[in-house]
Amino acid sequence: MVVALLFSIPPAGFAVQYVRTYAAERAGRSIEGQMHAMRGVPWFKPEYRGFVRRLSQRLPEDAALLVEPSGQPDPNPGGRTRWFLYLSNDLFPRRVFVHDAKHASGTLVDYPEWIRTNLIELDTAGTGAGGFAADILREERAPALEAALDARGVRWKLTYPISTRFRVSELALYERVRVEGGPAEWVERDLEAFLAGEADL
Amino acid sequence: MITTATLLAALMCWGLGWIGLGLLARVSGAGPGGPRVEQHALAVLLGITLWVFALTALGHVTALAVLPVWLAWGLGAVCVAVGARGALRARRVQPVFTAPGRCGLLERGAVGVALAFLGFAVVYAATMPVHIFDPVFHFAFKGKLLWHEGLLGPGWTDVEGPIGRVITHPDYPPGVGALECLVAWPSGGLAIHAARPLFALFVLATGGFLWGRLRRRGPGPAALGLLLWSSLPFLFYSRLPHPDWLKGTYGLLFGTEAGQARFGSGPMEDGAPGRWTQADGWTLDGAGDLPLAALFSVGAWLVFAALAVRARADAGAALVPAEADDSGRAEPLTAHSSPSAISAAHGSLADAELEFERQRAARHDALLGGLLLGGGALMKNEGLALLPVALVAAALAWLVTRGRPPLVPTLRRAGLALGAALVVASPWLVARSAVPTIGEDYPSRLSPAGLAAAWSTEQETGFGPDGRPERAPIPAIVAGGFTDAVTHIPRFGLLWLAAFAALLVRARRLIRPRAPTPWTAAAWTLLGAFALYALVLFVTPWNLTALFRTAIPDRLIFHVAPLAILLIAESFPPTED
Repeated sequence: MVVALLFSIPPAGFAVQYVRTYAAERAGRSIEGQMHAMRGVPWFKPEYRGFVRRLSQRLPEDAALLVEPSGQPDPNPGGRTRWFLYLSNDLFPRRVFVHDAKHASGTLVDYPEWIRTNLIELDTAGTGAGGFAADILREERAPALEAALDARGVRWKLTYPISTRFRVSELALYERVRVEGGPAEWVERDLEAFLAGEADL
Repeated sequence: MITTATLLAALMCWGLGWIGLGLLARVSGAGPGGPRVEQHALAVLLGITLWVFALTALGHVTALAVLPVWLAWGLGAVCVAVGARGALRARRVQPVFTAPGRCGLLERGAVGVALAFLGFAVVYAATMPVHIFDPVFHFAFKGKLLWHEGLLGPGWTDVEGPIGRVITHPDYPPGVGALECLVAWPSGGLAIHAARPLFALFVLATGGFLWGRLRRRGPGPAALGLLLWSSLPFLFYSRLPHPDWLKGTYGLLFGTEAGQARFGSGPMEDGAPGRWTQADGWTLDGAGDLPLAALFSVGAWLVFAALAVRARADAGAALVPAEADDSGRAEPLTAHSSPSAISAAHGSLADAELEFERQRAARHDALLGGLLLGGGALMKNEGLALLPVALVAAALAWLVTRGRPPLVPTLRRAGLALGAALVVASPWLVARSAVPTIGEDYPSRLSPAGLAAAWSTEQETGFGPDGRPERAPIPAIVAGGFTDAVTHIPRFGLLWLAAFAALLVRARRLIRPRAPTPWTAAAWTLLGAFALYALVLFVTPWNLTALFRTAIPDRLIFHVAPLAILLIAESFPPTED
């Protein structure tokens, strides 16, 4: 019993430190304020939280959004760059779609494969990283992709760079517009204006 | 964050638990018995299980957001009223539990410290947002799906087309999410941070159960068990402020800033001196590990206790009439029977009543334990995997016990427990076949071929001093991971070392016990859980070194931590009264 009491000293010290930290940094704040006060949680970063809040105000709850990575492929991306995952959770019940959802839903083991599929195979960033073979593959897949986008009512697309940093200025918003008689196309919109409510839905 | 909805949900769990205990008493003919605190603990665990079962089953039919708010308040009122009535009735009807021995100064001190830790667990759970990856994305997200789309909506299954939804581990059960929906229901909207305080209930209930069960043995084991559980560091953190144990412990005791000021920066990150980190609060953040540890360990111990009752298959045989002739045929007792015959008949009746009482109590424990085991399977897939481990352990314990209970009543009780567990787990078992399996898919990987391949495979473990990658065989890495976890004093104190010491000291009780006790089956379950998790890690697609940085296998062995505490405390001789 005495040994057990001795070994309870470190957790007791932690309890005291925790209560002190809580009282100094988070007590009395709203839950959002407490999130901002916590370090090391990517999806609590103030700029990200602010973006999610503003986008949620602009998109109706039944909206569907395609999220794509942009920029250069990173062969060893960290788990903290999975903004598609954070957006899918935080924009809910708005539906967030991605290409190759199976790898996107997997563990960190699958994440590099998801990046490769997006940035090389599908060349979502438009860098030509996949070469001629990827062009052919995309052509072949285009009808199925169009049908899937139509079936799920996806009207918006958001792209973000693969980075642990989250900057709204590095995101891009596109609207899927169908020209009469022709195929639908992604047309870029001014994200800041959209978030500010200055652009029409 | 504690809201009115949090409090109502907690009361709904407690109330429904007492209603459930009342129904169980009617079915089995016996109540839970033991100290009051143990009965309340069992009521809370049973109530959580029943709500999670009901909401998961309802998820098959509809999105839970359609449930009217007034219904939650109405049902809550009914649960609390009927549950309180049941609790009061149990208090009135059941005999007062008399525990052996009296608490001395040391025991009182230990209980005081334990109560302070239990209070801190509530404060800790209630004052921090849900913030760790797994609780947010693996568990709470399933609550969102249950709430807005129901079970098996497109958010759960639409992952295989050209575009699809993102759901991490779709094959994880939705029990934790269902618990979060229970808090959402009275308030009409999801607020996962308001559900976080409910996780403290698992700490409190497990503490209550440990105290109650061990109090039968004496005040010393009870106080030790309660203290070991409530002060278990892993309940509060898995990550130390600094990877070096001594520095990390200094950071725990005096704060990360003080540690950084005294010892300098943390380990290098991206080529720059890193900061000391905050301890993380893994188990109370909303992952499935704590609920599973509580429900599985308590459920398994109850079932093992039920199977260890050496009740006779023919309890009525105790009613052998007092004056039987040589052929065994009885003469009915009359007013003219001899005093010794009447006295012997009374003794036989008392024996028979005791026999029936023990059988009823065993049936009650088997049913209740089975329900809780099913609840564990709804919280995390490991709960389902641990079910066969517990069954095999129980069978093994029965086989090695010298004065073992008769087979038929034992099988009957095991069947009751298994049936109850499967009924509770059924809403998820039905859904699971329709859920896509992504990435890990352990059942298919755990084949002889998969294990043989893992045995001869090497993995990178890091970089040597010369900058070249270092490699090691998978079995060596797994063995090293378990050794590190078991000896990780800052995370577990001496829990695992003491548990294995208890197994060694009481090896006879493990290998060839004289009489049936739940201890033997619990010990085999502990060993079985370690073996199962080692096999799973053999075939995981992850890089093991990366995986072990996230406190695996510590998180896995935590599932049987309450069982380990019972093994330790039950190894002490009982107090003579």
